[in-house]
Amino acid sequence: MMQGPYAYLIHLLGWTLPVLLGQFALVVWRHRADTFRILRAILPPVIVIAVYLTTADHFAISAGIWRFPEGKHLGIYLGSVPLEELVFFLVTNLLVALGVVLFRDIQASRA
Amino acid sequence: MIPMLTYARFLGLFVCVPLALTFAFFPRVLAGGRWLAMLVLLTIVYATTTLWDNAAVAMGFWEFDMQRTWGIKIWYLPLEEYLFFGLQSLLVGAWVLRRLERVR
Repeated sequence: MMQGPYAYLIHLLGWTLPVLLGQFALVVWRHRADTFRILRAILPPVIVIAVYLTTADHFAISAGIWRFPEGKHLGIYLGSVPLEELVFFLVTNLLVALGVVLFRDIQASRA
Repeated sequence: MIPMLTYARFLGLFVCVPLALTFAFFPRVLAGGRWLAMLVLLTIVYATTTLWDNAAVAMGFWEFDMQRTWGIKIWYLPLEEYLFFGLQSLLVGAWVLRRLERVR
């Protein structure tokens, strides 16, 4: 059972960073210099939706739909939202966005 | 009087509304076989996030007030939570697909 202020962050990054790095390596390998253009296309949705959902998260926590017991988070809050939640939305949005890019590559190479 | 914010109302207001607007403005965003890519992606999202989210709740990182849900719990999570990460993925996916149309 994971304890301590880094518990949630470790659970989050431990699962996602290896996948994210793998996805990013594939995108760079496939798109080379165009990687920058890909990132410029996907980063605005990733960031805007992450900030938006973090704001929504604040209302959900304030209403008591879900809560974060103390002792397993950094203890840094944006409103009532633990900082890790913003990281969660950024990371998961990026996983989806890079996934979309890679599936688009597969479909393009078959066309 | 403002009605109580439940998980379902949270999804309706904060997730389904922007998703509906996205598809209203870009109705063809999943056309031409892109729906299939999105479906495969969602399958991966569900296979992985179901494990990850349930493990997180099992370890006590967060918890739900079941009084504010439909009361249907699958493993450690209310049904609404499963809808949340699918809808989030759809929202991000649709917008990203739209923006990628302008990239070679």
